[in-house]
Amino acid sequence: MDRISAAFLRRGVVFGCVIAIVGTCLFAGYYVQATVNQLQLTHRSFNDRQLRNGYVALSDVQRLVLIMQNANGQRRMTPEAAEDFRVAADFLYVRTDTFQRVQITGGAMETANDAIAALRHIQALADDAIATNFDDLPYLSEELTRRAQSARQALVRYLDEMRQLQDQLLARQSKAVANQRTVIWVTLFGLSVLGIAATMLLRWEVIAKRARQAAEARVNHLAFFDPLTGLPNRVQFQDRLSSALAKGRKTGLLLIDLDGFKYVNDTHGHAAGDAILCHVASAIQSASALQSGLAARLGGDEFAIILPSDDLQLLKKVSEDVIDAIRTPVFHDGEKLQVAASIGIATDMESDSDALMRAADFALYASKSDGKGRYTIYDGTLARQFLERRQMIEDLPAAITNGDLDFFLQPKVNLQTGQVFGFEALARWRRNGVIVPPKEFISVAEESSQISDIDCRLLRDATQHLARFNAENGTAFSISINFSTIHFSSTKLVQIVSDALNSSRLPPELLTIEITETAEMHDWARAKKTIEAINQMGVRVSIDDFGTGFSSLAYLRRTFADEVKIDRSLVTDIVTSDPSRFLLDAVLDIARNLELDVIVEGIETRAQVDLIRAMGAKYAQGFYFGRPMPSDEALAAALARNAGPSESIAS
Amino acid sequence: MQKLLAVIAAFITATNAWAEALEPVELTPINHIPAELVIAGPDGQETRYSPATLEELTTYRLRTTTPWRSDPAEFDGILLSDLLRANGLEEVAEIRVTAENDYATVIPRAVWEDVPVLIATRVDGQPHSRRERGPIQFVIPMEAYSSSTVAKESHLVWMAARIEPR
Repeated sequence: MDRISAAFLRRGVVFGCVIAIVGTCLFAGYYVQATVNQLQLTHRSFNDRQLRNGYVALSDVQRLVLIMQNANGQRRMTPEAAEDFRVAADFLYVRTDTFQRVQITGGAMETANDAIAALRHIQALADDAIATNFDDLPYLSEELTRRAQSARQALVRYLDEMRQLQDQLLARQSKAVANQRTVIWVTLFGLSVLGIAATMLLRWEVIAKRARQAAEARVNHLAFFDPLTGLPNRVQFQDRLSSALAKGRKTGLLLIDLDGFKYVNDTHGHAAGDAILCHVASAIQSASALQSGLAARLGGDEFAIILPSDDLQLLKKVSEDVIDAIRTPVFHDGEKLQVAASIGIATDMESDSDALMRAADFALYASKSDGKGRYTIYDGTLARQFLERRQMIEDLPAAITNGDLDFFLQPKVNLQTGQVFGFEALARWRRNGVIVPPKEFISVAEESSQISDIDCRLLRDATQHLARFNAENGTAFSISINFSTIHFSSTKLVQIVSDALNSSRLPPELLTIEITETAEMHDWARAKKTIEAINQMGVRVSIDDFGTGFSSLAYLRRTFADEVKIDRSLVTDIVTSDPSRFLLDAVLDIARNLELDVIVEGIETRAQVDLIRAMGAKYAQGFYFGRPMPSDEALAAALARNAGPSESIAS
Repeated sequence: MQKLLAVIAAFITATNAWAEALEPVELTPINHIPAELVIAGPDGQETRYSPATLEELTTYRLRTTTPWRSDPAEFDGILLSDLLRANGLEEVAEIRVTAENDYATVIPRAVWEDVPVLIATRVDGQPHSRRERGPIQFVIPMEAYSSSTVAKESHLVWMAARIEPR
């Protein structure tokens, strides 16, 4: 069918078909017409009037002969017989005249002319007989009989020729009908073929049209709807939001982000993730429909609801309903799946959809920061925080370049000797004369993609500072730098570390790169390659915050780490809680078996020191040994500590 | 609708034209060629007409050619429709006409309703001889005959001798 369609797109093929059809019609028409012409020609020579003239003429002649022979037999012509003879002669006269006229009209025939001549010959004798009042009946009778015999022979020849013409006519009629039948059959066959072809082409066209319409509908649907959940997509959401704001309608916006969706996806597979997304879509669709709102999926696990109201009570109620509905477990392949949702709420912001989106997003961020599974309304307080955050984003680049970004050092202590053997460098921002802690600006830096610049700056400054200090004081303090996981998706980090070592001349083994696995660290193959390259340079790699969040035993198996830093959450209760103690003991045991160095973070009391040392921990870090301090103070304190008696810890 | 009205108007005009071609005429008696036309009525009752008794009905004059006359001639006679009406045959569907020489033909009613059929008893004011296709001949004005779809040459009977319903 496609080939046929392609062929009919070519003008030559269409032109050829038209020529063939017209040519066939002309040929068929000519063929039939030629047969009809031949038929008409034959019919002109023969028609039933001519045939009838022959027979009637025979009858008229016979009538005359009978009257004459009767009269001759009776040897007298009675007046009645004479009148009959005159009438019969009139009949013959009219017949001969008619014969002649029809013959002239129909075309000359020799046998007809002979017959007409013979009839005229009889007519002349009859007229003579009437004129002479039948005075010589024997002669008249004999002569009439003789002329009648000649006329009979001529008429028979004529009629025989007419019969032949009749046969020809019938044969040609039969042939004409046969030709017509052939033409009709061919025409019917051609029309049938054309009809079938036209029907098939029509059907094909209808099917193609339906397919096109379906494809267009599909494309249209895909352009404005999310194929998985069937909800309006970001494009339609943006249109509807802009439209509502442009028309000055009261508008409330709920941005919804799922908590724990990645866990479901990673643990149970994408099909389970899809089931969760459909469950969420259904939940927000129901909630929004009740308030004549629009639910949309913006992408990933982000959803939104536009409501035609700025009534905060109503928005809160819808948010609570959505959170409750989403929290309802979903069963997929016999497994119970559950996620939570965080919501950011914002109401119309002077008809600016971008501003409204940013506000709702910030409120959502606040919900996430405040513990997830809740909603936050973008209000005056949040607005101030939002502005502060935005200001921070704007100030950060200058802070990085002009040196306002500094680092503090927190000592790491060898529990065996009680001496400081290294430090963890922690970023600090001197902003308008105030030290800004990292938790306030690191997330901002990460979101605004400035974390790389901060990490690199910190690496360069800290390594140079430590190297210089070690050189000046004959010490060999190591330095640990935290690197955001986003660095590990690129091998650029290897060059950055190499450059820092080269410029600072710090021995590689005194540098430790601390990494924390997060949800953003997806490309493990690439991260592993980067970590391996750093490791091969002699730089140590440490896993930070081990025991929390995403840092897991599985993580240990697939990285090339030299040490783990046990998170403070595993240490806090070890003095009062046996399970905590057992847990920490188990983790230390695993690390030992994996031949990893262990640094226990968050040590704040002497009792904790005694316990972890009893468990076999060798290194520790925490407020007990020193808070993060300006580098010079920290280094001076370390020198002083290391110069003092080691028993202060050992005992 | 307008087209139909136009056709009817044209028909009426044409009929009038043919009617004008047939002018009623007063004929003075003459000696006709002896002949007889027998009419069989609806009840089988036969009425015999001679050319002279035929002329007792309204007579008309018609100047026309026939298939056997290239030059026009004046025919006098009566209308077939009048003769049929006079004998109660105006509503019959068809009539069968037989000639003296045993020729027979069937004429449907549409013919005498469509065109005027003159039963001529005189030609050019003279008795209608058999050699002129008399004495009693069915004649139709040539123009009407040519344009009619129902009138045929076979209806132009000469030496007419009998009319009967079919």
